[in-house]
Amino acid sequence: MAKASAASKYSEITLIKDRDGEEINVQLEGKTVEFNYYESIRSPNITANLMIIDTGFSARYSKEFDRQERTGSIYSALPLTGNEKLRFIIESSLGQLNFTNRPLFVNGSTSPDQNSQREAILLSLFSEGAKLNSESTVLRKYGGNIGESVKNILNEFLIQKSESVRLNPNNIQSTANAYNFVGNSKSAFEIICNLGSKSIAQKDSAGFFFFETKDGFNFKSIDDLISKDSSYEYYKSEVLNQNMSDVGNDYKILSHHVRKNQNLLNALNAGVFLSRNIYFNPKTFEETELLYEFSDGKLVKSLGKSAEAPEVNGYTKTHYNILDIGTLEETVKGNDNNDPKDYQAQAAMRYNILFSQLVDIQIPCNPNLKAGDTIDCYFEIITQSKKEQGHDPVQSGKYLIVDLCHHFEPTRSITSLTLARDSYGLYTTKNES
Amino acid sequence: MKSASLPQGFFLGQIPPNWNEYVRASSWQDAHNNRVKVRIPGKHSKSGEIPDKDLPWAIVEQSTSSGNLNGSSVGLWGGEWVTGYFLDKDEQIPVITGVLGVNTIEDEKLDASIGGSTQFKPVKRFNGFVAKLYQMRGGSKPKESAGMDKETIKKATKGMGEGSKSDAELQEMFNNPNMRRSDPEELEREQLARIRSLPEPTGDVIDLSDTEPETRTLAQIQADSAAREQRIINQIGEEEYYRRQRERLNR
Repeated sequence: MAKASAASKYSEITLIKDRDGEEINVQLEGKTVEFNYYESIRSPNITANLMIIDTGFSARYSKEFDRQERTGSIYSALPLTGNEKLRFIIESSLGQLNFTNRPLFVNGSTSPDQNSQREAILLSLFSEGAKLNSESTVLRKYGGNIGESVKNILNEFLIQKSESVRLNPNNIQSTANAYNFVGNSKSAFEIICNLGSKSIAQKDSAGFFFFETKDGFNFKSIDDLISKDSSYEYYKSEVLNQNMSDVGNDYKILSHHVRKNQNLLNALNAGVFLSRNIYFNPKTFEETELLYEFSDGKLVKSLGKSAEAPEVNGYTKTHYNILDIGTLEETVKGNDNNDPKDYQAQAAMRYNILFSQLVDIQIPCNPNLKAGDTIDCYFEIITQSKKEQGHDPVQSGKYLIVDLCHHFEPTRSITSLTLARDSYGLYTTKNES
Repeated sequence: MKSASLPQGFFLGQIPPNWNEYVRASSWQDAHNNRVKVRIPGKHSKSGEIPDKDLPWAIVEQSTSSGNLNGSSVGLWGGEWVTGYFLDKDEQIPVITGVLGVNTIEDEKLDASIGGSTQFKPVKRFNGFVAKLYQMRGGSKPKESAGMDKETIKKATKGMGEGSKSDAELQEMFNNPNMRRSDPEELEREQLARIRSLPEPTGDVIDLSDTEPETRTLAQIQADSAAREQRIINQIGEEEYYRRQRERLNR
């Protein structure tokens, strides 16, 4: 077993309950049997779940419920009613998950197994941003650069409401296009996630993701995410290095499973390769039809060599758009507000191409990895050739971490990743034209 | 925050005072056509967090009777409650389909927004800026009152009883207010008197054998009839003519 796969150390796991103004802390280090921590570029907030075994000496009942104020399990004695905080530090050989300054909140709890001696309690957790988001109602009008609007919304509804919610301004990428919109009483996350598909980083580079990692919130373009240098290299091999403590074993792919490698019919139905786009101008009553075709080398950046386009003889999807001509202007004048010709068909193509290959892998726990990072994966070549063995030149290469789960048990720690890839091959292509 | 009231994509909203294209457009070239701003409860704030100026311009859907054959202005001025739907998934482009009937009993009503919002309170029917020349600014004032010139009259009467009246006679006829617009009551009295002066029917059969046979074609008859109709209209006015026609048909 690799060192990083060994049991991790719970340096601190404390459940904090505010009971009638009194802060009650319950230490869960010896009670935790399983902890799962989740990040995803498709989720605006972090989630987690925690399984604990309680034998009944965890907390004291309040006088309101029990005049004798006996001790009991946290499920009843605390009691768990949601909104409790969980502060924790989990350390593995490669790094640590430290949530002491920004604790997660209890969403709910279930008691799946209970007898007279003990009970198992499953807590589901979320980051504070999710709670603040639910309390947010965006009303104002926002305009100009979409990245700036995202920063303003996050500052107004999350950052200013809590000291523990983080925002690194560098993680909110500016867009090349501007967009005027009103909040329409929607929540902050709903608005920002919708803005992602309307944002462009540069020409032919539409599509952003809004997500939270252990470092805070991110609003980044697909091209920015995939063009970052890989943070780690992982190898798929049937053999382990001799020495158990060899760090090389910490970067082995324990298992991998190809969940998806293209889905041509779905891609055609989504208009990925050739779409017809109809635009109607409600001021001039002008109707415009444009065909958007994905051809080889169309992607500005890709994770592997250029993505290939199948031969498509006709458009496979029609997008209808009513142009926004100065709807939110103060005067009656006004030009196109974020013309969908610049982003819509391109974004639909870009998101679909990115998720054309999905691979699930398990690796020894690496708490340094985050959703939105890229890693290099090397898979063994399967060949009867007597030439030198090496890596599979098609499957191996750079992958984007879409979903991430750090899984901790009393005997092992692993990280499960869902990786995405838009193209094949070992080498990255950058189309600067 | 989710709201569950009207069907998805539909809305009920109020038009703020002073925010229609009649009063806001400096030139009709800039305007779309009859747009108004709309404040929607549940989407836009009651208070001035989103002031009137930041509200979306709504396109106003009109009935088919406002097509190219007719064309008409919308009657939305400010304060009305309207229903509509959004043209886009993100609910940023509203379209108004109708206006809710209003009880005009005067109560405490606003004539302008307070702090950038009507706060969804009732608004006076005659609110906001007074529109110059009713709708749009632009164009100089006419120097003289509208009237028909000789050329227009000639064109209008071309082919109708040509030669029966000279141009001078026609001009005089149109300048004479009694000729152009006879008093309808007086005309009616004259008509009644003519009917009363007719002899009582004797019961004799009228012999039409010695009358002159009709030699005109159907087209000529229709043309003569149309010319006669036009002469009557010119004399008593179009409105009065059709009123009489309706009255005759009703009888």
